[in-house]
Amino acid sequence: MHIEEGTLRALVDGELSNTEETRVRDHLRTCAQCEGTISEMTARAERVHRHMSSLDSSEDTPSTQIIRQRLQTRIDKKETSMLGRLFQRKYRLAWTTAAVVVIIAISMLFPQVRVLAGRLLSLFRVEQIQPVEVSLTLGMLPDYMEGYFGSLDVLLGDQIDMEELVEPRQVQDASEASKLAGFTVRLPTEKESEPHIFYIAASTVQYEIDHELLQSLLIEIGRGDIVIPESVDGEQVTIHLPDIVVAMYGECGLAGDEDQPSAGKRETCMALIQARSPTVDVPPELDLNSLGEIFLQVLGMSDEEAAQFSEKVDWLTTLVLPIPADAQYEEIANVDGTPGVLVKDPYGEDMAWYTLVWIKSGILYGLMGFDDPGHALAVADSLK
Amino acid sequence: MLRSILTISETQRPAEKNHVEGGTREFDSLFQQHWPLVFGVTLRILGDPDEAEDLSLEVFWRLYRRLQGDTKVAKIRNLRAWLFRSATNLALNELRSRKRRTHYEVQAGVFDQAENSVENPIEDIERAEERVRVRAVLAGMKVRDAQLLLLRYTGLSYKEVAEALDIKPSSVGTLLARAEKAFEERYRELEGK
Repeated sequence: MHIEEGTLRALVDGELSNTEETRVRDHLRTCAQCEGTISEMTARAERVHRHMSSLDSSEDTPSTQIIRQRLQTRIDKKETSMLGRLFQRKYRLAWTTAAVVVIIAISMLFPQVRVLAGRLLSLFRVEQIQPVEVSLTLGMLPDYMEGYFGSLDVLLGDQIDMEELVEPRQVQDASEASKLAGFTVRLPTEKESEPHIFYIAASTVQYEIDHELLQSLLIEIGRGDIVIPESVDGEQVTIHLPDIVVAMYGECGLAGDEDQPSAGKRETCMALIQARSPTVDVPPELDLNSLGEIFLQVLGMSDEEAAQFSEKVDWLTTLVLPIPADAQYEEIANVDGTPGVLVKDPYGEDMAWYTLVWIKSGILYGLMGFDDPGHALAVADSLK
Repeated sequence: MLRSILTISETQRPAEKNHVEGGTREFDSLFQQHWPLVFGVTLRILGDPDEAEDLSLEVFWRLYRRLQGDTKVAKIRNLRAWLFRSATNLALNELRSRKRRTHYEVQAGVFDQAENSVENPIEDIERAEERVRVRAVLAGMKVRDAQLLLLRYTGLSYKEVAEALDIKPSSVGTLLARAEKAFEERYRELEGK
């Protein structure tokens, strides 16, 4: 039995409690392997520290008072221009939900990236699913999403005003989940193992658009060329998130594991999400086509392509599912008795990372995992 | 996926301490207290004092907006963590953008400066190369890994790093060890080129 890596690293930094430190040091006296590991770790930490110290600067900087004056100049300049924009209400509402559309829809991507979809499955009351090919590729996703989530937390994390938001709650079985969610929760008979079932209570999200921050978000995800009219500032959007049930099969790196599951674990993880469609309170004069165009442009479509696609889609009732350029997708005529969309990132001959989405009897279903996609379809067909 | 759900849930807990409300005097005090740290970390990332100042002012402008605006949520759960996270996010994104746009120009500029140094031109060139390489490594890492290294190097405790990055304190050691490994691997790749 060896000491885990994180604990050894904490010992190097003096971050363990006295009791824990004593325990670890006692172990190190008798374990050559752990002693070797910590030596290596200490040496690496010192090397990296030396590299980082190359960035130290001896630059003289102006006094804090002078800097504060520069900040005030910036504040005064920005506030003056914002006051002017308060009178330009003509186009405000047309762009209000753009940020939420972009954020939520981008979340509808592959399971190996962090996904907000568990809470924000889609916008509007979804009746159909329409895939759209976008130029964003899977290879771009990790950096794209890192920048996106990093920015999202900075720009949005403290802004969202949650009426009530509770933690996911593990429940005993489908019956308990059904009572809580208010609809019949179905599970696949195809799977032999027992799932971990989680219930997330419905909640309301109110988001007040901050134009400056929204434009910064677009810049930070590399789409500073998309210009949001400044008059959107201050508009409020309300999203009613439904009750959501998530059934996780296999080893999915749950509870306490901050890391992505290892390759071995990932291969057996499957998640089945089911929820009623969320609804969004949107001002009636909202130009949905324009919002949709922004969403598609953010995902890499040209202005012209985005305009053409947006014209044909009923954004109020359609879940537009972005398909990365290097992924494959199929529109499946019959999934669980209804049309669906299968998006996959192949791995080897038969396996793929997949996301299968369909709507049945007013419930939106999402099945995500790593498997033979044919088996995923069989799982979906076996829901009872 | 579920970790993301849990993470979102945790961020919505009511503020327990260290929250800040609006008020000009209070803002001035915050600014005086936190400017050196914020500027220090952005300067470390970007290397250019003017760029670092500009970006650090942007961080405080955003803080000002939150504190002075009429949004319902005007409290920030942990200010120091928020400032560090904001600063490192913006600076690393800028570094990555810069890396894409002006890679060779920046390198040329750095070396020109070093070559013009009178006292220790060779040492200065080597130091310049090292800075360029370290920044290139940071720009190419996962953002969270780069943030971990920067925040830790700045002197934040595990608890503070965990708050800044919204992770569990018990995970910091593991993630830091892996970030250091990733840093060295990338550094060696660049060194070899």
